[in-house]
Amino acid sequence: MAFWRMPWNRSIGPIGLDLGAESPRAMQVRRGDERPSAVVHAHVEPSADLARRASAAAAAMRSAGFVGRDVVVGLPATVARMHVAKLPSVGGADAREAIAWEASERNALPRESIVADAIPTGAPANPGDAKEEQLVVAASTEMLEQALAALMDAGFDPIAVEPRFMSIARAISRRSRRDVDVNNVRAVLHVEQHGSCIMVLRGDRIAFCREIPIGGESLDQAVAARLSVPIDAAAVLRAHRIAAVRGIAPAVDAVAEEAALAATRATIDALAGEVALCLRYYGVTFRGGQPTRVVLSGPHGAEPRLAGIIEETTRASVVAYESELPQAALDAKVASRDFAPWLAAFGLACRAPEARASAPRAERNAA
Amino acid sequence: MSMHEVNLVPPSIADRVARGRASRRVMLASACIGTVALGIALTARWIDARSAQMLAAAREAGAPVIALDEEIAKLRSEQREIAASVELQRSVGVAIPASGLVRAIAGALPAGALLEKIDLNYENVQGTNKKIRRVAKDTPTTRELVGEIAGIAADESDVNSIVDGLGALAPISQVSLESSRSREFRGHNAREFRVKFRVDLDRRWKLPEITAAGAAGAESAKEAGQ
Repeated sequence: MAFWRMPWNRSIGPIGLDLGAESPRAMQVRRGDERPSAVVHAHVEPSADLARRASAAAAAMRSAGFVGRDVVVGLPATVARMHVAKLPSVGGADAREAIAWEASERNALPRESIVADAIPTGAPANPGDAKEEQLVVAASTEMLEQALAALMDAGFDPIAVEPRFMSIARAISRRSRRDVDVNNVRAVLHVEQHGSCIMVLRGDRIAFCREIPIGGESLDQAVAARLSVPIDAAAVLRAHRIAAVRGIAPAVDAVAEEAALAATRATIDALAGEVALCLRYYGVTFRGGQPTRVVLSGPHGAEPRLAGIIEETTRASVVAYESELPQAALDAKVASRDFAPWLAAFGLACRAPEARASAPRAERNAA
Repeated sequence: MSMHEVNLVPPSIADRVARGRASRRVMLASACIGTVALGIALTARWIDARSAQMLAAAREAGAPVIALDEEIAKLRSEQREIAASVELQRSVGVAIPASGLVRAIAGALPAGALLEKIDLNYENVQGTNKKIRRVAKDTPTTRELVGEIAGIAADESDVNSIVDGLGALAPISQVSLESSRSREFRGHNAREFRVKFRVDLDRRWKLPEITAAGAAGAESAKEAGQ
């Protein structure tokens, strides 16, 4: 760990710290080829709160080979609450105040106790409507201060905090950042242990995002109920199946495979149905038709038959997240062979330095 | 096209980050200044020590030369003092003491000669201001001793001998016989003479040494003549 950033380390970006994963994960990438230069993950209890996760992550980061103090933090969906709202098209401090009040009312929390920000979805507005659709994200100030204070006490500078889905969108959009890529519309289904997230990206902009409470945990429960095995055994079986699909482990027993397929079919169908509804909503809202491509990502994105069922349900082509990432990131030896759990940390580490601290500074200047 | 970014950093944390960065910048600047100052101090100390070593080595190596220089300076000082003394001597002193000159004249007299008068006058010497003032400033003045002796010799050959003897003395020049006439002295014919001569005081002369034997001979000859 080197807190002081030497001139020859200028090409190394900030540390991306994903606090929403099963275990906090941190990654740092080199700008340009975006090759990960250092990674670490801390082991915490699944029930640990955000501050404990931040403390464990800080301790792990101090012992790793990171450079600099700047940290971009990714928040889990349980901390960063998200909703869509139509807000006046104003800018500056007024816009941020309007966003904060909107988030305060929506989440039934005092204005002083939340931090909120928003991004425009780019949805076409109705004629005569001066409002634009925005994706509002809010989090508890107290919870953030406790978690970020733990990082600062360890010597790090949290320069930006964002929800994980934004970092995933950034990671998936590394090859679609040009202006012409706004026509590159695709859906991203990120399947995690405790839920999933469906996004529609236009270039590198998030046009639609929704959390779906179906994830690896639901699949584990389905397998455990069908095979009458403990949850842990079901999770091991599913992990083995996913590893076999990714080619990093041998195939499981055919009988177990068939039983697992039958067990997870209903859950996968439900997930695919949610995805289809979201894509249909996008097609109606944006008047541009549904995305014809779905990118599967996340630790449980390689669930067997998930891609096929989604393809059947949505009538869109389904591809794995690897096709959207820079090759240098996939070739990096620092990450494990399975890059899926590192996707959010990779997206956080790729956050551009110009934009990372502009919002709070603008707010302070306006104040 | 750039992705719209969301930042949920609370203002208190952002301010703390900004304060921490400012503090680190100040500390870094202080550390840099301190390091530079320390470096300058150490460099100056090293240069000072090196210069002292070089100076000591140069002094050690140049000690004989310095001693010679000091000796040369001392000799030059003495030379200047001597030159000043000589100049003073030349300006106010007389190069040839009159007693020595009289002794030399007496030594040059033949036996039987008698001096009745010796007159020595210094010209253009300090103390003879009247004569100096009459001379033009740009005219080189010669310090000289003008002498005149008068006496009685046995015959004309003795007179010639006196003149030749005086002319043979190194300091004396321009010896001229002013007068020579017969005279009766104690019942004998003798020649009374008067000779003038000049001595150049600006030149360095060494008077002939008059030995004691010579002086005794002269005394006895004088007594015999009497």
